[in-house]
Amino acid sequence: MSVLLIILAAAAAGMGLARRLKLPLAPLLILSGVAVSALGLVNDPDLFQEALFMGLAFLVFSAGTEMNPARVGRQGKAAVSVGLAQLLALALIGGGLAWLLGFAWLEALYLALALAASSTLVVIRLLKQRQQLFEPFGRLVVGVLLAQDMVIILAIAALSHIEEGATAVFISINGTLGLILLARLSLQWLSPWLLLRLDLDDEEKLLAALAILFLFIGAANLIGVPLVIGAFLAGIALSVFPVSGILRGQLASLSDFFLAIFFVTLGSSLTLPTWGDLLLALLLAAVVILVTPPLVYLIARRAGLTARSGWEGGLLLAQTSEFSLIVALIGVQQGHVGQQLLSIIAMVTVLTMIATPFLATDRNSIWLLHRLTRRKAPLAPSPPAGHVLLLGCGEHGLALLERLRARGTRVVVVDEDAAVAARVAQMGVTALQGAAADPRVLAAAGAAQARVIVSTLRRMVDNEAVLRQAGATPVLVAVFAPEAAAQVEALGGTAVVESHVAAEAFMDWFAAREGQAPGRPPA
Amino acid sequence: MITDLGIVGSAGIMIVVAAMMMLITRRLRIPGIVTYIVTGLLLGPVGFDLLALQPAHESDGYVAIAVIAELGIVLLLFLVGLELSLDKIRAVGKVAVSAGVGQVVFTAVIGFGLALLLGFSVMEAVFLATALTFSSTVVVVKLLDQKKHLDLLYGRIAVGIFLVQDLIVIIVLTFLAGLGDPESSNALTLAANLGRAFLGMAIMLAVALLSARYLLAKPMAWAAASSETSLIWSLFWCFAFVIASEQLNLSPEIGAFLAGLSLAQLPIAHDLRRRLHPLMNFFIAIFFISLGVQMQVEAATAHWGAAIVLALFVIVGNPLIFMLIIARGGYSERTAFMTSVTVAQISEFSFIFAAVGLSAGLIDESILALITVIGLITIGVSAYMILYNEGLYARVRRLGLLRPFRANPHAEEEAAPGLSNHVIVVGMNSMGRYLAEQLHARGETVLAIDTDANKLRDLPIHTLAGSTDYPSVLEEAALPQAKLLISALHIEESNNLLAFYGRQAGVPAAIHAFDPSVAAELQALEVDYLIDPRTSWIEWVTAELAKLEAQQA
Repeated sequence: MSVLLIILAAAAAGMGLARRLKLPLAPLLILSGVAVSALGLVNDPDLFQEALFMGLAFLVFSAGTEMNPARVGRQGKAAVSVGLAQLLALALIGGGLAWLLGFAWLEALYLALALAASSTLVVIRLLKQRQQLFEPFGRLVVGVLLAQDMVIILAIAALSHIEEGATAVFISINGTLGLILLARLSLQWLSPWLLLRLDLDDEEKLLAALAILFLFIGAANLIGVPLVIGAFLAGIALSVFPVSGILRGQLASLSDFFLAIFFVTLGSSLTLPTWGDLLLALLLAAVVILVTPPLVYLIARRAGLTARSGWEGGLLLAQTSEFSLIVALIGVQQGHVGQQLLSIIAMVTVLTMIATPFLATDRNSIWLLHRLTRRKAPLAPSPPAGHVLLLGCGEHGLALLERLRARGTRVVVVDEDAAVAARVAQMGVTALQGAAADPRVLAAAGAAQARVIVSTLRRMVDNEAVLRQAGATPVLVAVFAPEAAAQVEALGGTAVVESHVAAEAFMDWFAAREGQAPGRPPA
Repeated sequence: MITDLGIVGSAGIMIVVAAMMMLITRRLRIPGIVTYIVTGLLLGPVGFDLLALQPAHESDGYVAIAVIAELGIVLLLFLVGLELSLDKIRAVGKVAVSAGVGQVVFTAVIGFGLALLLGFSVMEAVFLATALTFSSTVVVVKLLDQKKHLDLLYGRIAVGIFLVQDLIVIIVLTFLAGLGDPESSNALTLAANLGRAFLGMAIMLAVALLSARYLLAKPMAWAAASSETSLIWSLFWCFAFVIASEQLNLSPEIGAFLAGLSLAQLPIAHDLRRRLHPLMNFFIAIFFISLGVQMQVEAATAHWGAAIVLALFVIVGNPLIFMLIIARGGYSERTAFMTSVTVAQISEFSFIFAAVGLSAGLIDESILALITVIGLITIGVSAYMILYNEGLYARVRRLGLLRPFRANPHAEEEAAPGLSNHVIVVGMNSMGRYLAEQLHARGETVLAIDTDANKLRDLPIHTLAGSTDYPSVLEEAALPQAKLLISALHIEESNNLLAFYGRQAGVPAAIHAFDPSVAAELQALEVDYLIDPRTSWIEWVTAELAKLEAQQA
């Protein structure tokens, strides 16, 4: 019991710190684990190991349940190409570096694999927090993670038998493919039957879900592949809607609990690194952070996403994963890899995970957009007049643009993303590429001569700048929250509060409905 | 390739077999506890002998499965503490003490006599009587929790009784410790140990209450915004108490209970209970299954007759004496009956007690096995009785068996009025808030739900803090009785789930479709209305532009 107290104390401290500093949980939990072992509190190494494996199984299981292919939407193809490209590039660079520095070929292979994946935990949590899961780059990122996880699973299966020769590897991979098929079948038949058709109560549903988890783990063991593969595929078998939604409540606290346990016990099992190791870790972290965003950006652009999406996605994916840790752990267990490499990989993961919230910000993606994207010279030497000036042509702006074009209104569009401006120009509409808050851009777009300015710009600072330069032209600004509306009105603009407008539309529907059928009779 | 699966493997086999058993026996509506114990029997030496677990009392190191099992009991008692408050316990204090102590005395004395009559030796009769005396906190609390009756009056009385019995168990355990260690078996040392135990308990209770008032409120409110942080922090608090009570020679369960009690008054307690449930269910399942695995019953064949007699004594006799005491206390007949039914089994502690006796050479294997069989029968039967206690009460009442007790025929007021024909609004962002206020202004009954309790402040309507990912939240929101379900959430998965539950309950749903990509799925789920800010905004702007055009013309 005291073992649990120690682990929970470390977890509590790590989580509190993470919340305070607004950092991801995983790296801080690992650091608390390191503190635990540094303070000599590991009184029962065997129990710590057992806890580690239990935690590992649940961690990978919950990762699997989040891997719903439907979330990817239309970004599927792009996701696969981005994912594989990132994986290969980082694997080659990392593996090459390791081999050059004198690591054995097998260790270099493990390191290559460990560098190749981005973190489901950190990324999906960030996307959920910022409510960006549904955005095109959000969907792309989810698809990338899914594709990479699949590759890593197969790679783990292959690596675990690599010393036994090609036949063993072949059998192992086939076995894994068989398990994947089993997961697919369960997803289609078993999970819906168990959790939807049968009328089970909460506890029985939990029991059924856990039974699936342990059955897959058992199957993995039978085939001779590491149990994480079974746990992950069990999660996938339960990832379909509405099964995953129904189970989320039941599994949430279990996965929170075991997640904390896993990272703390992992941290406590790491050996202290040498200065050389630390340096290598920093180097590798730098490689991941510097290589990933441009790579993702290039491929995303080629796949048709906007420049901004490309940068946002790229910055979000610039870290290594909990799967990197898992790969290293399995390597240590199989005897392919030493404790030193595990510590190095753990350090890279901690560093890159902590860096992610600071890297993947709006400000950074806009900076990259301006600095590294080529500008097009503004069109139309003489500013237009009597038009509707549309600032910002994202999804909102585009929909409005189509509506206005249908009515024959003359529209000029300003957007800082060159790809967007190009697309609009292709529709036959005058488009300028530039920052809408910039006075030169506004002048070129004829802000003072326009009939109306409509702003869909997301940042309040940009809107304020526009309002100050608008002169006599009426400005309509789209805002979501009523607090922003007050700021807009104060500067002379007209705020269109989205939430209120939508709510009013709903109330009209509701009132009409009530008029037809006054209230439902109580059940 | 991991050939030695250790904890994962053992837990895995247990869970898989339990799930299969649950599926096979679904129609029979067997209480979960019974399914688990039978699973354990199947897996252990009695059945197919697939698992060999070291009995907890035989190991002095850490045995991983035993730790998990103990974790289950700790979490269960932590949950019970979270459910109650000191006032609620004080209210049932008197009857709990009189019933708890009274039943112990009665069962011990009559049980002893009965055992002697059945032909056992004095020493054997002493052990049998003690083993029969205590009822199982774990079994009863688990069942009451499953029925969501912990907060009803009879539930609170039952918990009070079991707490009192736990205290008596501590006394017995202290004596036991003295028995095993010849140096400390004189009266003075025993008294000193007992004194230390009770002093320790008083200190822990004081710490629990003081921290509830002064220490915990702010940190837990800060942690509340993140669900994992509040979960881990409260678990840490629980285990701090558990370790403290182990150090004080008390049982870990009391520590867990006190930790729960200290958190019970905080606003996050409600949500915490919801989150802890699945965690507790998992570990408790392991506990009951391993209990079954460790049962050895072959040696009991010689005493089958005695087993049935003594089991009947527990199943019928214990509730009888309870009825007498509680009915006298002025409680209604229904409450008295329901409470009495909860004590119709013996405790898992009895197995431990008997095992210690065996290793001390005071009794033989057959007596241990006998106690095990009695345990099996009584836990099984009482689980059924508790689970279906309403029906049982109706039947017994009709047969007129309860009249001699002359209890108060009027039932106590318990049911809280529920909502009906109301509008549920999920997600108190600016849109949700606006909708809730507009609907309220129209005179509708509105219930606002949000995971963040801070967002529910200053609302003139009904509120509920929680995540709609948990079906229990929608139950509390009385979804089937609602007339409309609205979601203002910006989260695709939660919205889809709400649409699904709405359709399942036959309630019309209006869901926030914040992006065209989510609309398709919502339409497939037959949502009645899509709240579409984008389209509404475009229409509004287009209309405004047309107005401006007209003005400027």
